[in-house]
Amino acid sequence: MGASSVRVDGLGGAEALDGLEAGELEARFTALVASHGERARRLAWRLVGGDAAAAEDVAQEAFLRAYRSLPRFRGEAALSTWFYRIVVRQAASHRRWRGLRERMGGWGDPESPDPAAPAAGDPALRRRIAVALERLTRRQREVFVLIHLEGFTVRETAAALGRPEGTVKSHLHRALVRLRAELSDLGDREGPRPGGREGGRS
Amino acid sequence: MSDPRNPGAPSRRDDDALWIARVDDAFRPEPLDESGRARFAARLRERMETRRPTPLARLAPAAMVLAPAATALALAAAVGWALRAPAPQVRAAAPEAPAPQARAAAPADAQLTAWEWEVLLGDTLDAGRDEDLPEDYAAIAAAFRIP
Repeated sequence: MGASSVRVDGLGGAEALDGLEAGELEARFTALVASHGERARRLAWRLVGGDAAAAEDVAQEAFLRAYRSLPRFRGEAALSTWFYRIVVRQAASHRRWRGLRERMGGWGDPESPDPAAPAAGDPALRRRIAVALERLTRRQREVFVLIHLEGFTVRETAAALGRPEGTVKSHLHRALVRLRAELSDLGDREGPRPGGREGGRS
Repeated sequence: MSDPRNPGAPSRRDDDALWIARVDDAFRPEPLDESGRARFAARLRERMETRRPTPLARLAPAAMVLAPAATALALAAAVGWALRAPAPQVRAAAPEAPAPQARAAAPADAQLTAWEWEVLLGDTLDAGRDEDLPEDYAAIAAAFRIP
């Protein structure tokens, strides 16, 4: 999978990270965790279906992999885009292993979303949304979550997923149609939370 | 209604935007507070300090499933080799045809499906890190008829 041609952002401008001193690498990694930790955890939570423990594991594993790969980061992609690509892949990997464990039954500990884990909103509605997302294809789910829930642009999403923008738009459209059909009653409920989607951006 | 922050996105109708806002509100974890962020960072630090990966460790999960399959394959190969080997002179009169039930052992013992192989090895292959795969992957994959 080739790197996308974007720039490093947020951590020092467009540059490759080759040849960084260990201390500076550490500082940049700390900055990456500080600035993207919460969003990475939330993105992972949404991609793994609302499982808080799995989301933390996915986010931490993504940071760990990013740290290992940071010295080889070539500065051809936005660092954040590169990092979220790792998060998305890690979440997909988690879902595959979870599916395999469930298929093989009793091999390892099957994981399922923890309903007691702290989360916003109505637990029943949360569960319905998780199930509806589960029924999408992997790419549809990733695209919907990244763009509509996490506020990524189509371009950023295309870079993060390594897919053409047109493909991303197509997945997004299909995901929205399917989810709206499945969760049509959400449009009938009384007023959204004050502030709307702004809390979803970071 | 188009999103000025996301000009490349398909235009959304107002009701789509409202519906999405409700999904967004309903499907999110509680944000971490200060102590939660500190715990997250501490656990990450601990994970980084305790996990010094080696190439072998990276393959460990796959090895958990590969090992039994490889063992079965090795046994089948050994049986096949033994049956194909030139008969010793003292057995020159013995029939050459191997026992059919022994030759069928490998596919029957193989528990992994192509899908499971993809699950286990997909990331490695997707990432183009073919060099991380066991050297005998191609042989094993061929035995399981993985394209």
